[in-house]
Amino acid sequence: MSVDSAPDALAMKNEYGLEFPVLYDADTSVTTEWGLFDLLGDGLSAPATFVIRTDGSIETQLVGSNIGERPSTNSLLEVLASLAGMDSSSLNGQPGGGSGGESDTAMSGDAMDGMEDAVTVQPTAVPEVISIGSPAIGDLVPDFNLPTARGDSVSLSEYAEDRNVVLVFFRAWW
Amino acid sequence: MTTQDLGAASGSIDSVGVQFPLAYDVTKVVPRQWERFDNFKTELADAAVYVIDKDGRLVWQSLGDNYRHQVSATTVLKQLDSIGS
Repeated sequence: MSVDSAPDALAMKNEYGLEFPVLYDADTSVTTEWGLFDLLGDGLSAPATFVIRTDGSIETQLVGSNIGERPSTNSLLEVLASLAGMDSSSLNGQPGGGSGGESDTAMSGDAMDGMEDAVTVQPTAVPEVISIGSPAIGDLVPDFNLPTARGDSVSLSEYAEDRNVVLVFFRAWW
Repeated sequence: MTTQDLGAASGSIDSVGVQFPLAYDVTKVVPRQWERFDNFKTELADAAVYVIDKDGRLVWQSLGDNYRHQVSATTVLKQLDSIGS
């Protein structure tokens, strides 16, 4: 999805021979609702990649801090393979398994066989699951995956069915 | 979770003995999703404390009107006790 006009989105789809749906959001309503529009102060949508489970919930997300920051195809395939219960090593050498360049945007092809269910995106259902807005008592809270100060990452889903969680939004003072 | 960049703060964290994950979100996406960003024109995540149960449901919250808002450990522990931690 981009904030390009319909003709621009169609031109890109044709130029690169993309076989998957290319969405455009010229009025920026969707990218604004997702908190991505003008996030970098450039009047565009911040580059963002979401992997969405078959139930519509988010498995993982990466929001770039600059226009060029995007996940590699390999890292996305590893996430999808994990969701599909596949060994990610079986994806080595498959089309679309490169680590950069144009292949990063071409997520269709043989490497995706068997994983269609994991990447089915239903735009009308997703905003409900992401639960944009302040969660109310009793709501399922949206998952996130964020870096930590120790250099690893943490997500709420790590604690599911294991521990209750105290989540604090705070300002650091050091 | 904070919107400040803690990528170089591990030394400070070690010095204060923090045992739990200190996540940061310089993109502000998460606090925006939770409607807890810049509500008071500070360009920061607005302070908040949430208790989330094992099913991922919000069971208690304390929302501050600025970034200084804090909740006592006793209060949080009481909430955790109430859901059987």
